[in-house]
Amino acid sequence: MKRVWVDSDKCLGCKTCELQCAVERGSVSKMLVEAVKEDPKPVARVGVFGPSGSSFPLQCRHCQDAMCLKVCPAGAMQRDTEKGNIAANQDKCRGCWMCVMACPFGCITPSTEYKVALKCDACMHMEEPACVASCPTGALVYGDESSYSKVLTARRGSIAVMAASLTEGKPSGIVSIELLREDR
Amino acid sequence: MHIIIGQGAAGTAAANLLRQMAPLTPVTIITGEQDYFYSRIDLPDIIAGKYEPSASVLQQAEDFVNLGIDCRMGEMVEAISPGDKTVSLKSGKVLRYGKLLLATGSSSVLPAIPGIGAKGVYSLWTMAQARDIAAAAGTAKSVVVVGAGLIGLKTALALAARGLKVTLVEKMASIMPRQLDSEGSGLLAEKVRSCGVEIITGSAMEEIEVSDGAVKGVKVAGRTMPADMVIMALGVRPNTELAAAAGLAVGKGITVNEFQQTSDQDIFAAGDCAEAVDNLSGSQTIQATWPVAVEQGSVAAYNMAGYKTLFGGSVAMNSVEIAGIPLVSVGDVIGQPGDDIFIDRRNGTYRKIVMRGKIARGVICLGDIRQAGVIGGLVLRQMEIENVEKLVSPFFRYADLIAV
Repeated sequence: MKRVWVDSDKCLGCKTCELQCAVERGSVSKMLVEAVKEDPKPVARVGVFGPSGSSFPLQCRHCQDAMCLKVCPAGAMQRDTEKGNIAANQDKCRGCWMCVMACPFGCITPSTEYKVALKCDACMHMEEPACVASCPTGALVYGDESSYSKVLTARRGSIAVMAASLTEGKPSGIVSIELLREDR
Repeated sequence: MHIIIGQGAAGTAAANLLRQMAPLTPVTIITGEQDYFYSRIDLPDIIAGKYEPSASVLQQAEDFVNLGIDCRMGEMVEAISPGDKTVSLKSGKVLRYGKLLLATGSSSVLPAIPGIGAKGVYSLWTMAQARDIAAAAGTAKSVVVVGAGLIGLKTALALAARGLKVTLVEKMASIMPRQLDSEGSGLLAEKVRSCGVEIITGSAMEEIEVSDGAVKGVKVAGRTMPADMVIMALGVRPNTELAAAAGLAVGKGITVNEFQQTSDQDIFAAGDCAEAVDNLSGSQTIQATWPVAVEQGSVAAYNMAGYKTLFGGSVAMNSVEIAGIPLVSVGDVIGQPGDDIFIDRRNGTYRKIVMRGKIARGVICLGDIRQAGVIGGLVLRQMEIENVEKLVSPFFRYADLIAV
């Protein structure tokens, strides 16, 4: 399954993805200059939060055992059988907010104006998700597991090297993540 | 053959999953319902005239056929005999099962008070009842709704939207006493009143006054209010009669283990009729909510198909939008002596978090519910939180849990 991957080391917390998501997926005009004047305000399906230095763009994880799918009593929350993404069908949504209550990531936003649940569907009808296309640092990557595993391998490789250098001359090979982060 | 009794959230979830997990085993659903699997949350909106009853059907006759499920409507089960593994129907037929799932659900609580059987007294739990109420509301002028829980409030607002004079009577001191504390309840009551619903709390209904077999009024705290319609919304109780008659262990509901298995290893139970472990107290409770029903139905289906799966327990939780106010309530929202209470009030929103040390015990989000899932998830899982200060901050987000 293709999905949005996050390289949190590259995230500067600039929130460009939030802007682009709101414009592309939430606005009527699809243009930033017009979108900021719209009422109701376009809502982003991705949110960049966390303290500076460890900010993180978070959008729906399209969980395998998705709580939102199970709890929806309206049949609005559906998984695309081909792509595996979960999308909220706004025609069926009744605004009961069961999904908002159930999502442990807080990735579903209730639209106070339209009374429907808004969530990321990984822009499944577009070539590339808006957040990924807009990210200026490459912190967001869209692809299947193999394409991201390169990034992971590189990262794990560097952590392993650091761990080795830190434990030189010591008996234990176990190093806490905090120690590694301080070291950088 | 697998037999499922009941075609609600738990029964249908289990049937659908069983077809995926064990496609070679036939699945039969037996249900007294005359309507195919529908969404209960739509019932008040159907009364309000917002949706047609057909709009809330989740799974039609042909959907059941396409999935290979034999759904028998309007059939009632007479008895279960665990000894020879058969289910006998009222129509006289006898069906043999390999595994049986009891998803018999719950029914409205109706107190034994004078006049309860009169014409014009309704309760709201099924599509048929919603249709009856919607039809009766066409000619009725004033209605008394008894019980200010979720259904009572939603029904009161639906009838007020249709132009009826609505009075809501609640025995407890505040509305939604199971989900809200007094402050949250007060905020909500104000909005409900502005929608034209009169609220009387702290008073129980004593009597339904009847003339010529039809409702004439309701006596509350010595005062008689004229009404041509009464809606009883005092909650639901599990349908355990079949299980008890079959000799299965029954407590508050049908007793089940973590695999949703009853005291008979080939009979499972799920949904409103079954007990569920409360993760806060560790005791058995009844959580008559849609999410728990689907989860238990799924767990039962996995185990019936031979895949050992555990039900992870539950806490009292519900979400609803009432009078334009979204609200989520999870866990113990009042708190016990010694618990820390964190309250956040900002422009019309109200949030309360009950903490016991590093563990969240309950949360109310009223107005702004965006982080309710994150905090509610911590309550459900009873996880220890490193940084309580961050959790209770108004700016708390999921990212704060993973940031190092």
